[in-house]
Amino acid sequence: MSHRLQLSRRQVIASAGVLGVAGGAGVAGVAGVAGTRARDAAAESVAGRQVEFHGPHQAGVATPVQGNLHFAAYDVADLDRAALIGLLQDWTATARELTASRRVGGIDAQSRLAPPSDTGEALGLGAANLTVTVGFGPDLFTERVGLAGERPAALADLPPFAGNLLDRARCGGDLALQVCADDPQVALHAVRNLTRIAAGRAAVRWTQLGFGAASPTAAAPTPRNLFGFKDGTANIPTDDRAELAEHVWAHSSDGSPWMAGGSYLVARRIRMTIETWDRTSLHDQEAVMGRTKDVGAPLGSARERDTVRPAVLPASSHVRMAHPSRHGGARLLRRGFNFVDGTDELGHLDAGLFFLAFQRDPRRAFVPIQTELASHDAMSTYIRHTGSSLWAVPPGVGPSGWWGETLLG
Amino acid sequence: MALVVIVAIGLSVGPAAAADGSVADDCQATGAAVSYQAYARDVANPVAAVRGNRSDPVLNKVRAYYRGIAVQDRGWELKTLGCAAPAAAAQPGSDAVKAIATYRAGVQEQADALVPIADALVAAVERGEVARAKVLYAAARARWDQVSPVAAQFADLESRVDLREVDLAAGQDWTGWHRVEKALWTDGDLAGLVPVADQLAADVRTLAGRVPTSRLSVSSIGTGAKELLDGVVTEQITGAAEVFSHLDLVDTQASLDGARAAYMALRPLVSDRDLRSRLDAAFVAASRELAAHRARDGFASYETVGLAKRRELARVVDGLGEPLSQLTAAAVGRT
Repeated sequence: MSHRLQLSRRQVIASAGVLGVAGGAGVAGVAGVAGTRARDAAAESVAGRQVEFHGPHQAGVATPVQGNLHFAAYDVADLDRAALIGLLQDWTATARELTASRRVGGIDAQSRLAPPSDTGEALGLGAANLTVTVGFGPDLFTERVGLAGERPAALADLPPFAGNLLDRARCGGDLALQVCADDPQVALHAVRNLTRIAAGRAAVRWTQLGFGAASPTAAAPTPRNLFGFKDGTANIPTDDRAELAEHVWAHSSDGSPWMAGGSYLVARRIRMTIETWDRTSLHDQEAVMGRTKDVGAPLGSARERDTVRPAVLPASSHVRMAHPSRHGGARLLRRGFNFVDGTDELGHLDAGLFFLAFQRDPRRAFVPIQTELASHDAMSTYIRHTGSSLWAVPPGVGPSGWWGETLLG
Repeated sequence: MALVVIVAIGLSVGPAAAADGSVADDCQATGAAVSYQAYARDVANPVAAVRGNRSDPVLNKVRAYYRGIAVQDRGWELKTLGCAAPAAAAQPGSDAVKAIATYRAGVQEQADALVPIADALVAAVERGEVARAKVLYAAARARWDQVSPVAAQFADLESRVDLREVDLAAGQDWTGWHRVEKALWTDGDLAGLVPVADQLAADVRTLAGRVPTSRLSVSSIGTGAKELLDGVVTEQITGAAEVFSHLDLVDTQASLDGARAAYMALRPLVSDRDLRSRLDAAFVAASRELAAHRARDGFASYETVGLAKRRELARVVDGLGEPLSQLTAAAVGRT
């Protein structure tokens, strides 16, 4: 838990600068994260655990990774352009309220004969660093909503990769909400209320829950994936503005000016064959990964953050295969989460990594990297890609803006 | 007699609930969202299975009823979307009374229609006519959900009439519609079923007799509609309503008809134009989705409806259920 403490302290300080939070409130926020849920009334007014909703980029991309994920992909109904705009405006307004830990629908006294506008399960839990990030799927760009010509070139369909075992029910969608929070109930609350608001306009296609923040931040120790290894040591730090600008944020000169400040998200449900992995010798596990299990050091080095020298690593090791030097320097901002969806019908863990990668252009990042990994990565023996989706994540909004305004406004 | 026991929260409806006299705009907005050009469908005829006996007066009535469903659907669309009947400005109190009376009359009509169907079902069971009994069962179910919100007031009747096998407590005697359903669709042995069918027909008659004095209010009508949709979502589109006959879509149609009757009765009390327009569109969307499953003999067996189609149904009924959950408060007004 110590990394959580550091993380939240850092955020409290950052937030205090923006929002002018009093020191006392900040301390309460830290206690809330470090301990169990702060259920006292004060927690609800604590701004220290809030992530700023407004800005040039959506929250939830270059935001330190929270503890829990609730990702939802939606199919839109037969909407015209005005109805789609209405939905996005309603979602934006609600997400703005949710991330500030305000009740959905406001606190006006409402009729007791109507269902509560807020479902209530997050009352008193605080904002828990909630972020709600919207994505537009390729199929949204149709004539029906007048967007046929607006599909960004970077949102090209992913090619098939070796080792795909895709379940169509876990693929695709028109709209996505990546909801992250340090409390799974706060994340659920957001998804549940946003889904309810969309009824008749958009319906859930699939969802994925995740935990464990399987992506690193600069301040925190690298989390471990379900192989038991530190995962993503070489990820782009969420506070490295230069790297983010170079590799993550779309630029207006990239071909779709409305995406400037946005990003492209590849989401892959990667199931691990846990049982066979656990029967693999330590030597072989480390050779597959290219790092030591305990420390996470590149093989042949002593410390986790020692420079990776691909040439000295086993030929098909994951770290060597994924190294930017093999892909023209391409890098991804990874925001993955571990997942466990219970066990399958054979009694084996249905578990793995819900891989979320943000990038400026998947054709120059995820696609070449995954093409290489799928064919040559030793880890392929122990993983199956069972879900896949691709999203254009539009830029952030100001206090009166709405998601997609640069595209549909 | 009909209005003697009205418990009307709705009687205190404020001026906000008065008809706003601007129905034309309302309809225009709705019309833009839904076009019903493609809506004309073959008239459903659930009794094709027994198409032999054209002189059977009861079956002829059943046929006429099913033919009517399709016509009724389209008529409703035209009426709502074509703005045929703008509500005249009226006294709030009397609007609520009128809404309740309208709803009660509709339920009464359905309950009365159930009586001869149930009687004919008894006769078919007594004579061992399984095919005929199945048709009559389907015809009865097509009406039952329209009266079930009123039947729910009478615990004695409900526990005898509408329990499914999974609803039974240990040792509880099982009677009613679903006991009949199981016998008809599984073993077909009707001898032991005669007393069950007899009791069912008697209960149906009792219910029809109680409709005039049942306790109805604007609030209970709105809540009843919401609960009909709840049943669609949790039991019918999951296939848990009619586990032996797989007539779940017949039940769904009946539930939608019942909810729609409640909505149409309360609609003049709803001043929220946006809610009206959402509900109008959502009822049409649900009707259309269901219409896609009509077959010559009524509706497709739910066993034959695949997961993708079931999801489509779920989406439209969720799309209706959400705005419908706002109906009661909107019709009653702030209290």
